[in-house]
Amino acid sequence: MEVAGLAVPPQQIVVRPGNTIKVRSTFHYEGPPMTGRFRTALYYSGGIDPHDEIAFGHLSFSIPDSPEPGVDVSTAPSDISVVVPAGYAGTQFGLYTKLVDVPGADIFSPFYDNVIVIEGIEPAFSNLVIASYVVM
Amino acid sequence: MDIVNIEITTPLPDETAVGRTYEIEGVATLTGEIGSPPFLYAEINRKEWYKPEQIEETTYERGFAIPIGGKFSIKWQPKKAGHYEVTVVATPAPLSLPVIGVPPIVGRSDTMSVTAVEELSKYTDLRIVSYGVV
Repeated sequence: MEVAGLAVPPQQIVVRPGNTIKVRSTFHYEGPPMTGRFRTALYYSGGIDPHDEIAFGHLSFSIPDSPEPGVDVSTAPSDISVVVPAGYAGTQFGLYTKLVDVPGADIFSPFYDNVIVIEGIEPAFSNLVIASYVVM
Repeated sequence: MDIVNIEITTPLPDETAVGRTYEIEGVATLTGEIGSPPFLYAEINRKEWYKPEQIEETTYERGFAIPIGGKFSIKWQPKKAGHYEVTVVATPAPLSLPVIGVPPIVGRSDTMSVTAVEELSKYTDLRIVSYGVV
């Protein structure tokens, strides 16, 4: 599926509720064989929790033996899909990725604040007509 | 006296990582010029200071030799961290693995002293490179 208007951090993109955002993440790895998951989340940074997640997606990966100089691992080509939920129109959200189910603690990418803008949807009225009338 | 001379051309490194595969390469030649090609094994002793030699953990990895020229290679993957002594040995017949008792040895290489350590995973530069609406 083609990605329209591909952006790179810290560019903002405007989305609508129900849209699917495709996010590509990478990291460099050196070490023994391992498996894990990329987990990418859309977060709001205005509340008590600075990274309050409202939606996320994930993708598994598997790395064979990776001696020096290591290997670059990416979510390409399928990438991670995050569906924009309803109810947040007019709000800006951040994106980040972490590696989960890996040996040791989770590994975090930088937090990219306010890169996703959820467009407000104006109520649309149309086809207002008098359908009938009668003498009483 | 050894009937088979075993020369190691690619020894194991002094330090290895648990879970990685290493290869020993060498040449095994018969001293009497004639005879059937020997069977080659890496005899791996896991050394633990508190255990007497008789009850050390010993395993064998089968090698593969080219009949002409006597070149061989043996793959080994340390499963546990620790100190090992690895010697390539020649036997007149295949060993039934696991080996029970003392196998007949007709040749022995120099012993390689190897340490196996747990390797740590290194992750760097995790980042988001692009995003867009489909």
